[in-house]
Amino acid sequence: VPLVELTCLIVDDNASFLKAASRLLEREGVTVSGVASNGAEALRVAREVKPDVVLLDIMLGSESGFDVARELAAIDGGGPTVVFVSTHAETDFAELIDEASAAGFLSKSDLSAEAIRQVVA
Amino acid sequence: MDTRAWSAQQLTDFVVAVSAADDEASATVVAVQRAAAALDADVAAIVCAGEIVAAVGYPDGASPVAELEAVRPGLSEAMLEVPGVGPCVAAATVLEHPEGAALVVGRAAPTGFTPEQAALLGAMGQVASMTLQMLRVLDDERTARSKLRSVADEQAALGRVATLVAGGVEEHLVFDAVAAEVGRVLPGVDVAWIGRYHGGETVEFVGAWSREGEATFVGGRVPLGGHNVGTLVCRHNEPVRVDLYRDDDAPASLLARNWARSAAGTPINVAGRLWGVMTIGSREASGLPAGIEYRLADFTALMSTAIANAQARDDLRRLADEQAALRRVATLVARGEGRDTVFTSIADEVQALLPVTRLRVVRGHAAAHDEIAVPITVEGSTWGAIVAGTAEEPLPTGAEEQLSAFAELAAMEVANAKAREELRRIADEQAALRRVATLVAHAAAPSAVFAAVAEEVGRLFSAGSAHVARYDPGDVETVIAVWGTTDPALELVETTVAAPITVAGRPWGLVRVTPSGGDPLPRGTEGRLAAFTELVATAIANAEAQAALTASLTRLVTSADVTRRRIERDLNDGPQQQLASLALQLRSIQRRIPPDTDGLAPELGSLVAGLTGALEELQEYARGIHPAFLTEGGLETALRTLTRRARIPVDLNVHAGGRLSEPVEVAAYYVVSEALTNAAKHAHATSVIVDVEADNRLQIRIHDNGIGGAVFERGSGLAGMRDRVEALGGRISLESRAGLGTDLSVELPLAVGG
Repeated sequence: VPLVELTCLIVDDNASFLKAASRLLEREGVTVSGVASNGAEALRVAREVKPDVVLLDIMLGSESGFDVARELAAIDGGGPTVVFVSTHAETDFAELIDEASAAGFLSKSDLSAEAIRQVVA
Repeated sequence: MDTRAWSAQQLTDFVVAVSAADDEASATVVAVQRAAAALDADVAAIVCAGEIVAAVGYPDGASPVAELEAVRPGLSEAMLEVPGVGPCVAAATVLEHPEGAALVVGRAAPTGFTPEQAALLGAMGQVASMTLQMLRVLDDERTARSKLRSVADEQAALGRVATLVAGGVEEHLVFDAVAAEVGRVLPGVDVAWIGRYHGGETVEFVGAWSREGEATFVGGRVPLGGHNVGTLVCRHNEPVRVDLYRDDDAPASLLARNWARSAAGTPINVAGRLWGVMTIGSREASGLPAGIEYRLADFTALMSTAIANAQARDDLRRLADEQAALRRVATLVARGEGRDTVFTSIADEVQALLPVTRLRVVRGHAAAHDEIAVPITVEGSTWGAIVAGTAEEPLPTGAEEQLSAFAELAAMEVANAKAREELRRIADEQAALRRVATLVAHAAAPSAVFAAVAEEVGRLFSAGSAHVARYDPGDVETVIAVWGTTDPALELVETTVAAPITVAGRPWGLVRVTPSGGDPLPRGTEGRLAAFTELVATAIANAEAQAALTASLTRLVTSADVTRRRIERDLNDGPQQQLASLALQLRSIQRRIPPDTDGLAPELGSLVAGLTGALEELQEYARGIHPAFLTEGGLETALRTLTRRARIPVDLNVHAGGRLSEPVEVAAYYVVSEALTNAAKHAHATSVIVDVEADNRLQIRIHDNGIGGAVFERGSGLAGMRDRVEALGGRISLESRAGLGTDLSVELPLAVGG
């Protein structure tokens, strides 16, 4: 994925994280083409903006990020690349992440354009 | 020859003739004859007290006593009118013996007696008196001797009979011997027999003697009736005499006439009751001496003794036999040989003792009119009877009493059998109750207790079916346990017995027993069911209390879990998110720092690193409070996650079959987590095997190869684990011998809080 062309959708129910993550990624050259705070919104925006990558929170309020990931994968014409994010450790969800059709995982505090590129590479 | 010499000669002849006579009677006759001859008299007579003692010269039966007595001694001119002779001159002399007697002579008139002749008459009178008196003395002595002899014979006969009696000779031999003695000893007896009465209706000949040989009628029996000794003695019970048998057609009379024309008899009384008769008979009418029936009495007294002795001996033997028989039966009863054996033995023994031809032991009363029934009384009420009957004669007196003794033994057997049965029943019941009580005590599931109770009461009462039912709202009875086959036809039968199950004062349900095949259930069944319903009630109450306790523990644990989960969530949503956002913001700031700001970027970098470290620490804490990934991914995934992160190798085999209820998943997760911690930290194990399998319960087995010796120590992780497992109604067991590693086994119900 060419650097300049990386577009990204951030899905998280935490507003301050959405804000902080968007600001950081924009600064690092990633186009944050949309944000969503729940599964339905995420699907709608994803269909609309067709991002290269969706940063998807695993603990999405009452929803499970893994469920949302399955729905994203089912979008016509192929879903976006999903990278799970969480404040939890990757090892906690390793199995579920493996099973899910996701590119990988990033700890929220480790989020960066470089990290995303490594995961989706 | 002168007159004096003549007189002397005549007197001498007279003395010689008279004294030669054998007895007084013949001497009297000789005296009269010689006096008539000596005095040349036509008639001579001795009269005494208005009777002719002896007379000559008169035609037969023509002795005029008054005329003769009127002749007085002396030379009176008394005359006699003698038939065939005519008027006679009479002379008389008084005899000193017999007293008041006179010797009278008469000669045809006109020639009278000379004074010499009168003196000779006087002398002859004196001589005759002396001679007659002497002969009387001799006669009396002879008579006395004869009497003595016959008394001696009789005494000897009685002695022989008494010897026989005392010797215990059999009855019929005594009877024959007595008849023979009587016949030989008593005068004028041609036949003698002993008869035994049977109920005043017949007489049986039990002993006999006949002068002519064998008495063939012994053993025969004839009905009483008619005018004969046997019948009369039986009717009057006193000595009887018949001098001439009349012609009547009664069999007893016909038989008697075959043997005798006259007879006498004496009753034989034994123990105050008329037993029979002793009879003697003569071929002649009036052939028996007067009063002979009274002389029989001595013999009949001996007969009575003989019979009484024989009867006493028989009674003794019978009594001994009876006692032996009773003892044999009693032994069978005491040994508990069983009703059939005892009753058969009673039937055999009674038939050996009594002349019964049929005998049976029956329930209730079922005697025919010709049978006797002796009741078998058990515990104050009639259980049945021994019924006996005979083909011929009625049963002997006292048979009822004898049968009663056997009836008592039969009653004892029935009572014993009842007691044995009762004991067995109580033992069975106690065993059944103990089995159910054990179940209850071990806190078995109520359903298991219900099933056990249904089966136990069903078997105990030999019921067709038994069931336990619960009252549900709306008057609905829900069957919750069944034993046996329920016959719908019997469901409505009134003999079905039920007992209520009362839990905490309210009717909860019932235990019902339905008899098998219409056999009614024993009385008191409902009372005996009560012991079982009490156990059921206890089991239910226990279960309810246990369920309440478990539910409250479950609530506690669950609410604690919910709280931990919330805290973890709050940690995640709050501080963790915030720290993560802060880290991102710091990195954003880092990106905008101009390159020439010396040292600011590394400073910010270490700040980010510190934040990340704090986040990781928080992650650890949060994970310890609640594993979010368990909620997210379920038990299987969480356990795999857990074991992957473990410090020692874990061989995990998990088949949970999808998601389980959260409390169960949480508990299971904590069990495995705690066990793995212990294995690594305390047991110093180098490997652990974890098997998790969900069937109808969740089974968890954890084995480590550590040092062992783990216990449920108060406040330890294991104790906490146990509390948590038991709060969910689960079980936990620990085997941890030193050096042999630790085996932990946990069983959790899949449905929690029910």
